[in-house]
Amino acid sequence: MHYRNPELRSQLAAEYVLGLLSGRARRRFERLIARQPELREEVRFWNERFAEIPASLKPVQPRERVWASISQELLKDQNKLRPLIAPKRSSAAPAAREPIGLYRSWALVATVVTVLLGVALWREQARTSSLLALLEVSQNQPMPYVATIHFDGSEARWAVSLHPDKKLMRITIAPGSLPVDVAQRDLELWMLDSQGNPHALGLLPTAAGVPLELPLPEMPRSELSAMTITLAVSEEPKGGSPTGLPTGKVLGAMPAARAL
Amino acid sequence: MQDAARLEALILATAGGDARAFSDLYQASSSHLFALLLRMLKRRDWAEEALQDCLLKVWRKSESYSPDKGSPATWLYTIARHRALDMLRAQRPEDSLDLGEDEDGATITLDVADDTENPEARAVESEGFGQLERCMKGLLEPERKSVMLAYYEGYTHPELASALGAPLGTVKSWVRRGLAKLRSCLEG
Repeated sequence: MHYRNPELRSQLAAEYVLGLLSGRARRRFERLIARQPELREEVRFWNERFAEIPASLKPVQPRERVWASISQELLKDQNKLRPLIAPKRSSAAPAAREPIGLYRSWALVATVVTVLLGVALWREQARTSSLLALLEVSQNQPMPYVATIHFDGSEARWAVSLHPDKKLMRITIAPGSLPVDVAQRDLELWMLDSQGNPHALGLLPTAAGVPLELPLPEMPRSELSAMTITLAVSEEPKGGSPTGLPTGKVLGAMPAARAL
Repeated sequence: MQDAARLEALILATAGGDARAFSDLYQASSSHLFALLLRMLKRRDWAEEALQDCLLKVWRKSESYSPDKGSPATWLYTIARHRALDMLRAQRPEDSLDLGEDEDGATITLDVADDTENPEARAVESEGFGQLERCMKGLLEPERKSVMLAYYEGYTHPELASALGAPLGTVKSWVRRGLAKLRSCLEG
């Protein structure tokens, strides 16, 4: 059927764009669009005109978590990695099985990690020379914790900032050689609580890309009010620790301090 | 939304896998798409979910955008609206944010709204902006309502009949007459 009547053509195209054609009528119309350029033009006309309806709405800023979730999906697409949200530790797991001593000893390996703090560094992560003092800030100010991560013997560097107020974590990589073979292993970032227990934060990106924004897993409020917290990195199977606790070699630990 | 040329460049760069361009595209479009999604879904959490789905679709399908099919803003709005319509059709909202919107599509004002758009850019992009709005004023109230409810709620003819408390045949002719008036006004 050919809609020779321009009014009928316009009518159907508008109803199609609005979503008023359903089922068979819609499918039939779509077949006609494919064959009739005038109909296609008419659909385009209404699409453009009806787009003026939302264009008249006042813009509303979505919360940051939307971009954080999108970034996480992007990472999956880019690196084919499975970003981690800290898995809940099973309450059934007997506490005695947790090798607390191992986590406590993470602090000892901190010395092998180059740790640089500060906002200038956060802004100019590639410059190793800039070193900023830790500034005294009020604890109730929503300042991010910042740290840069670098392992001896490899070139890659990461700038990490944790924003407890936004429940968000940002990671940027300055690429270079890596301490693990990324075809086989991933680097997983942890936060140690005041008891020395690790909480999974996510996987460190291993390739250059957009600054990653990931949701910051829930932490007890008391853990995120201190002036400094301790981060650690372990090497894990691809996709991250299967247990929710570190299973591989701990590559380093580092403080992250509140920055101005 | 920003001027069409910039949006188009960002979409085309995104299609080429440029994540930075995609991030800029998000910055440029998200508050506009979110306004539409919030208007349609009325719940912030649903609107956020829809925005995420919509932008991921943009990221994954940006190569399907072609400038000759329409303006980039229209393409983005269409993806967002279709995602919201899918959600609305899957489940009608039970409890809604009270946004103080009027029942047939006037502007919603949220206190978080921050109008930072560039009026110049907007004037460029929306050549003929307001034309539809002006033509809408020439419609009778039930005709206008039918069109707006179909646009924002995704109502079918029978749903419109039930929402407006009118017989199906009456609603169909409201829609038909409303669209015919719009067409002739928009052409004029």
